[in-house]
Amino acid sequence: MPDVWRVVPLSDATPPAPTTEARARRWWRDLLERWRGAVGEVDDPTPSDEDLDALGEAWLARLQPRPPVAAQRAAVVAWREARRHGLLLRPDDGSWDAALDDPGGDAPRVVEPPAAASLGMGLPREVVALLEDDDGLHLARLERWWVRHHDGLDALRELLGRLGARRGPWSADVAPSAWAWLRRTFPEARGLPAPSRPAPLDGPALHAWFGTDPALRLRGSGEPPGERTFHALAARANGEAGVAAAIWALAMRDGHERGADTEGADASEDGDARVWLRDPATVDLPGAASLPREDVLLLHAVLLHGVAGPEVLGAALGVTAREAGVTMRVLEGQDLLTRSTGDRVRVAPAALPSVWSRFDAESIAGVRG
Amino acid sequence: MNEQLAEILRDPADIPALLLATGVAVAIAVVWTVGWLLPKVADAVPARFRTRVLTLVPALRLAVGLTLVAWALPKVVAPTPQNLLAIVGALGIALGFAFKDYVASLVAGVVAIAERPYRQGDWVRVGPHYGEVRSVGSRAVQIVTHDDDVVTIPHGRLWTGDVANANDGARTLLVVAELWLHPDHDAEAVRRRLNDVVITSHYLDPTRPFRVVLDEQTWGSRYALKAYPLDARDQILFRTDLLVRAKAVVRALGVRFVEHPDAREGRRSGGMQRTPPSTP
Repeated sequence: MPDVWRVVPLSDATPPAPTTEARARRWWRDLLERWRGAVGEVDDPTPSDEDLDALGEAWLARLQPRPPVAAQRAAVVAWREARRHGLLLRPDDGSWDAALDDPGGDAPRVVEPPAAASLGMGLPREVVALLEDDDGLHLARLERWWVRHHDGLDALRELLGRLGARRGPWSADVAPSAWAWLRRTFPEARGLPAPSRPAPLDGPALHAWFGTDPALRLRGSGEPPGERTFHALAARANGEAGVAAAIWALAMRDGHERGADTEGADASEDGDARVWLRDPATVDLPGAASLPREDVLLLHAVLLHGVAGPEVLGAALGVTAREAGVTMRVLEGQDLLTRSTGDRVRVAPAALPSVWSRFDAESIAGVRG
Repeated sequence: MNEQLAEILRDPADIPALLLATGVAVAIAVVWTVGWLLPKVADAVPARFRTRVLTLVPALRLAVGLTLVAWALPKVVAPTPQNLLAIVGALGIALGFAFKDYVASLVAGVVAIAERPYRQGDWVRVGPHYGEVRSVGSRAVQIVTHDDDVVTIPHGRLWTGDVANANDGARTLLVVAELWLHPDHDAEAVRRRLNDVVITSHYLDPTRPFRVVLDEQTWGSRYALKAYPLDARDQILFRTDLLVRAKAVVRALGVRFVEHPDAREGRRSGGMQRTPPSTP
């Protein structure tokens, strides 16, 4: 496990490549989606077999993998100890949030971003004071220190300038899309160190994390999920832990268990029950292939800011907050966005593969760093 | 000449003048009926078929004309091999002159395939027309302008005119948004704010270079915001976004705008203001 959960230089991070068959299947699915002009359903709550029941929460709780926060925290500590200044790309799927937001007792002080970025926002005095000290500190979520608007850059510009000149040890994390934008547009970002990122997970790594529950069976074959299943999952998720977990949950929700009443039952008591898992390569995920271009640009703006509300998105896209809010609700309805806190949203982890693919098609380059 | 003509034509006594006059009258009546009836049919059919019905009008007129000629010719001309040869020869010469430009365009089309001055999806300027190449045919290229006009330009224009290709097969192209400001201002502050306008546009492709350049003229300071949008189709929206926000930051800085001399001249002369040409 320690080898799985580690932080590596961005240049060394190679996501698991999908097989040719998986590529062809995805291409064909995207093509059909374009023709149909509709975003595919996330899941079909109706059991295809009358003998199968919907999967209960107890089963989901038993089978869904949990982020190994301790291992991730240890990986961050090891990464930080190996360098004086470091920049970490925080995954868009939130899989490392718990470890980065609560780094443990011995970790340096974490400087949190403002609750909500706004136009004209400057760098608070207490943050300036912390940056002028030589004590170690960690700046969390750099992407929340700005709004992509000509009046929304002051705080970030000052922050980057001070970070580049700071002599004391520091680390920071930033959303990959925001870093891709910063390094190309901000001269101040050139002074920052080359970023690292959590190592992508391959099939065996996912298998080790997810384990092998005896109740799980693959639809079609009836076999327990094996290396091929996890390889397909890793390829579909681009090696991102949170995306893989989201796909896994959908694959199980599509599946069902045998038994008369499973809702709320203690899953561990039913030794004969089976949960039928769909092939991760064929699970229907929220699709962005047929989205209007303006909606794609809104998704990009959300990823640039990590999480964003209608005010920030309106400013970033040159529309009113009301217009941005309408689009947000439409995309929430398509399961592409998910509510974060208050009226702010983030891109749903299960939607990320389709969103990345659409970004590639639209030449929104380098969003993953 | 008259003797040769007399040899080609039938004896006047053998030409059925009344029949020919009737044929011409019927043809005119048919052409008139087609011109009157089909537009009414086009209005009655579902809207998606309207243009198809209307395109039948010239085709039917041509068909009626050709039918009339094919029917009447043997009744006027003596059908000997020599006469047919003379008619075909004369027709060939006439068609050769008529289709000279057409053939030149076909040849230019072959050259266009080899040299590729434009491809489908390119944004080109040919003469006064600027738009996206919708199709490259054997005789002509069709472009769609920003006003959604389809302009058909014969390849033959390649021989005589310049073709400016803005993206030359690439996905995006350089967009230039210009502002003319009063020369008395803090240029560094303006340039910095305009740079922020450029980098925060959601249409910007940050992987390509972007610049804010200043050029001093006798009548003012010309700022040009040069950057690439994510996609060439975004160029108008990109330029609009740049200009709207650039004007806002310039106003916020308290800098005055000035008019381009062409605009002043246009207003003095009472004519329409001409938009100064964009300089990439």
